[in-house]
This record gives sequence, C-alpha cells and structure tokens, in this order.
Amino acid sequence: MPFILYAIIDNDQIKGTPANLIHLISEKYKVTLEIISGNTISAFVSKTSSSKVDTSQDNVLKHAALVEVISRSYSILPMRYGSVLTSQEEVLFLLDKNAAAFQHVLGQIYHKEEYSVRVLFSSSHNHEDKRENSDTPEESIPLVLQGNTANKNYLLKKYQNHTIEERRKKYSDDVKNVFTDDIQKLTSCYEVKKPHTAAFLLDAVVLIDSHKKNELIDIVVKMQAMYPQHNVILTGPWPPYSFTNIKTQ
Amino acid sequence: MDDDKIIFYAGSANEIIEELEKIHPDNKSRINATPDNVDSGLAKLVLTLIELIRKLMEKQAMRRIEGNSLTDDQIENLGETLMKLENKMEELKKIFNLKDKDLTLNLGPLGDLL
Repeated sequence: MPFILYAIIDNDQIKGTPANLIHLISEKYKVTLEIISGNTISAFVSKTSSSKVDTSQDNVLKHAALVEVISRSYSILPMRYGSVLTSQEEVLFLLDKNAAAFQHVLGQIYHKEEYSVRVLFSSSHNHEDKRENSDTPEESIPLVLQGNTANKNYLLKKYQNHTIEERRKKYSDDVKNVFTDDIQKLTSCYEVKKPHTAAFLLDAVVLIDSHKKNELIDIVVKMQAMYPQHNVILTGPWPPYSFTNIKTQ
Repeated sequence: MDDDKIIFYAGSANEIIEELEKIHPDNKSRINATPDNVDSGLAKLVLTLIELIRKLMEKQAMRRIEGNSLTDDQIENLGETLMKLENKMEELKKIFNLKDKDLTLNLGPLGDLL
C-alpha cells in the first residue's frame, strides 16, 4: 500500500503516539495520520490507494495545511506535496538510508521557525515611479543619441527604459542591503529570492529561533518606518520549507 | 493565505492578494509539447531563447552607449538592427499566436527566465 509523506522527525521528539494530533488531523482533514519509525528517524505518513499523485489545487492546499498543523507541535522537515512511496519498506529504507542527512538538517531547524518578509511597491508609488521617470533630462542623454533620426529615437526610448530599470534595480538593492544588515544580527539563515513580480522590491525568507520573533517584528517595523511609501509584509511562522532541501537517496 | 499568518502589514488587503495571486506558478511558463501542438510548443521554446538573446543584445548595446564607445554610423546601424529584430519578433509572435508573457521558461527555484 502506498504512503503519502508529510514530515520527517527525529525519534527523540516522538514519545509514544501523539493521539491528540492524530485526532485533530483526522477530524479536520479526514486523513488517518500514522508514524513509521526507523532506527533514529520517523515519518508522518498516511495510506493512499494509488501512488499516482493527483495535483489538484485542493489536494496541494490540504497537504500544506496538514504539514503546517504538524509543524506547530514539532520541529520537522516538511515534505512537499507529491512525496509518495509505494510501501512501508520503502519508507523505512528512505529513513534509514538518509538518517544522517535528516538529522543534520533537523539539528539546524530545531526550535526555529521560518518567516517571510516582503516589501511591495504600493500601487500609488508605482504610478508615481512611472511618471517621475517617463522623461530623461536632456543633459543626461548620451551625446551619441542626440539627433532626430528614427534609429536614434528608437535607441533613445530603449535607453530611457534601461535607465529606469537600472535605477529601480539599484533602489531594490539598497532596500535589500538595509534588510540584510539588520537580519544578519538575528540569524545567518536567510535567503533573498528573486522577486516574482515587478511589484516586489524584496522577497526574503528567514529562519530564526522561536523566541526571537519579536526582534524580527522590530526589524520589519523599522523598515516600514524607513520606507513609508512601500508596504512591508511579515508572514509566518511557516514550516521550514526553504531551509530543508535534501537530496535523498 | 490565512489571516493569522500575517503578522505585520500596513497596506491594503487587495494589493497583497492581487500580487500574491500572480506568484502562483501556472502552466504557461512550461513547454507543453504534445503530438497535436508540437509546432507551437517548439516555437514557444525557440522564440523564448531568441527573445533572451535579443534582450542580452539590447543590454550590451546600452552598455556601449553608456560607455560612449560608438560612432554615429555605428549608432544608426545598431538602432536599425535592433528595431528590425524587434519587428521580426513581433511578426513571429503573431504567426504562432504568442504574447510577451508566454515567452518565458520556469526555472523552478531560480524563477522565470524572462
């Protein structure tokens, strides 16, 4: 019988069957959660009728929500949706074969929480930004582009877009530097991602000790005060998806 | 996203919902080649790569302009070449019914190519 994997945990954290958690998940998600234990590492799993993964949005969200519930009680390695193994023997093989790697990463995330920090251009600022930059002052136009030919006009337009983009990139780097200077005082585990859309100035994830949440909030509040024209968003805690990448064998 | 996950946010709810919805990966940034649509699947891939090279050429041209290392004739040639290349890309996009937003590849954790 195939098993869906939700999370990996070290055996020291599991003392007996977590009846309350299993009951809660059964009630809320209609999933019968089980624990399969290897020598030092265990996995939260549930039986499934097929090893084929149905990638509907509902299933993905349900999986994420279930992992989230487990992560509220334990320090876990969250497994992404689609982690399905065909038998209990395969689960045990995965646990024992990768025990050292799992334990290493579990040690790094123990009693830590993942948060997301994003800085958005506000909608109004976006419009101002476009208006401010729509024309390049005459004196900053390179000499070679001065003159009124179709080819030069075309290049001038490209050059203006290029300078807007460069200014925006520099500004974004400045915001990123402000954030990283502060966050380094709190943790060395952070990652600044490539923003997914142009509306984001900063898209970062951090892993901090659970008791340092208020210090993180202070950093975010300070950033919002520094950049009142933008919107700073702090979300979490999330299961530590961004800091638990392991190549399993 | 559950409301209880937002710890700090001073902006309007609509703005963040709108932006976060754009993040969800969709199938448009994947090459979806099947026996029935192999032509357009391949065209999307090839045009994406050409668009990447075209944008790199544009970037390099801007660097040369900033460096003031081009003569007037070279500027005229450069402008004409880039303009023709852009027009040709527009034609090809129309032929294969592709929009600007279609010309990208999802590189997983690295984000989109373009």
